[in-house]
Amino acid sequence: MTSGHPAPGIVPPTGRIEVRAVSQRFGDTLALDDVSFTIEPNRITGLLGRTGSGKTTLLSVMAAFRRPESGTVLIDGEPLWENPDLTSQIAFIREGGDTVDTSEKVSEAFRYAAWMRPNWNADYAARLADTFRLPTKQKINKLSRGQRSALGIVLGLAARTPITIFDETYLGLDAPSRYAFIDAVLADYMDEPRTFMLSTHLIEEMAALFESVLILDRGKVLAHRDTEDLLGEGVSITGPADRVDAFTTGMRVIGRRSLGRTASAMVLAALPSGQRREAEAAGLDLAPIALQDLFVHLTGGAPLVSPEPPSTEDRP
Amino acid sequence: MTATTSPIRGDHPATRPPARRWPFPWVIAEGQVVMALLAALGYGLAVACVVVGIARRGTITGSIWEPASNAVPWYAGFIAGYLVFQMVPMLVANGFTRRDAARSVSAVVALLSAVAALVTTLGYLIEYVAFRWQGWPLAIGGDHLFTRHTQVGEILWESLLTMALWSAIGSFIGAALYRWEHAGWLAFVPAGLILSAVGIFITARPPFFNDAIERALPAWGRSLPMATLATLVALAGCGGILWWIVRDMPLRRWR
Repeated sequence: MTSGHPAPGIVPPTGRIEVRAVSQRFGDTLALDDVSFTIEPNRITGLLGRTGSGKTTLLSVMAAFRRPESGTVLIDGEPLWENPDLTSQIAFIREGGDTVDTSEKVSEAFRYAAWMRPNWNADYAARLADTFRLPTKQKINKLSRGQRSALGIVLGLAARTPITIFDETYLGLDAPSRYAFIDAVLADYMDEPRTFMLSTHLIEEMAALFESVLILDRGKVLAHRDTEDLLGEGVSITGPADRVDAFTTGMRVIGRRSLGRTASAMVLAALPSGQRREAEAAGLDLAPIALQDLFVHLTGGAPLVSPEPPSTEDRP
Repeated sequence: MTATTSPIRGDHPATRPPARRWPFPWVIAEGQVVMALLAALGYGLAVACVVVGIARRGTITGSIWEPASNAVPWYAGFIAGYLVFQMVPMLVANGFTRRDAARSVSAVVALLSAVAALVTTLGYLIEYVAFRWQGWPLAIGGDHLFTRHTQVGEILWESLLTMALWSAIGSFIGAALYRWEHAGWLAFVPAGLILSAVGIFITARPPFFNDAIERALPAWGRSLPMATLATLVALAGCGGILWWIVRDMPLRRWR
């Protein structure tokens, strides 16, 4: 079969994405409000946001699935919209089946992909299908939700596009398959580094993948940082409850959990080395703050506080 | 985890240059052509059964294929609508621009129109042979740009015009239904108007209006050249409507 993209002499994009002043309204709802940011190439970026924060709309605009009301998306400085050299280099996989004809078999979807995708790797697709136990002879509309998620992942990864975007594609997967997905992304990224963007609500599970994080809230960019830098803004302090409380007095505590006499406080502060030594001397354990906790705090979610710590009067 | 090499550019197998050339989408077309031929075979057999039934229980007074072939443009229009509804978004989701996706699917639709026209013409030829063999009358009812089974060129040309028109109309209806869902049914309004307008030139009888319009048309209007011209204008209009719908059509999110 002839590939749909045989033309020579065109330099493929590096995968640098610039989103400039993008806004999108649906009726009375402002889904994206003057959103601007840049994704550097060859990084794995996590897109986090609460339900309805505008994640899918943003990713749809970034993949030219939707033309924004205002603003523009540039890939390597070139406008993306209706630019075949650029749109062909993006794989955007949403939950559902918009990249396939659902009345066809999985194997047919692979055949179509081989024609549509310039860098389609059929061997890799077959290996991934095997990993995810995807029945290739089955019709797509007969697949379970998890199998359809797996199909999306196979199509997204085997397309080998310089920019690969997954929007909650893995929600339907069971835990072993989700781990297989993380392994597959990492292995593929190490093999062929490129720009990945993953939106997820399974923050803790996916956090290890993210080199940078973009947090969207109510259609606006709340934070866009390297994961390390973002997590470096806070610290988790764990130890005997009274010592934790004493140590964190005067600090900005964004969350606290306790179990028996042990407490863990999440503090929004970069501790200087002196304070770190002091904490260690007091028998407190310091650890990076969890991305999910930071996300909940930043997006104004439920306070990260477990039931009140036992008062000193209750202590034996 | 940051990559240390320049990843996307270079000789890496995953970094072949992207392409601009879009060859004819055989991957979509081949299945549709096979389906169309199978449907034609099945329908032809069904019509043959009807002919045999009429011959045994009554009298054949003229062409049976003439009324039966009215189903073919409906098929062509429906398939065109289905292809645009299903394939244009799929191609866009796989990196095609809307322009290239519409062009690719339109190419398949055009091919299927030609297949439908050939099937229609072949039906007349088979009927001609069979009816002559049985000694049945070959009168062609309805309004056409041909009057006899042996006018193969005229039959083929009228069929081509008809299938192309119905397919083009089906295409923009499919696009409208994808883009606006239920409100997309409103596309049947311009569809009806276009069919009526061009129908005057092809069949000399507009499908949705009374004879007043028909009488208003001078005799020279009912000719192959005029029908061709009217159809080409209508096809351009349909193409314009299709592009107007598709050019910034957002992709729906299926659940």
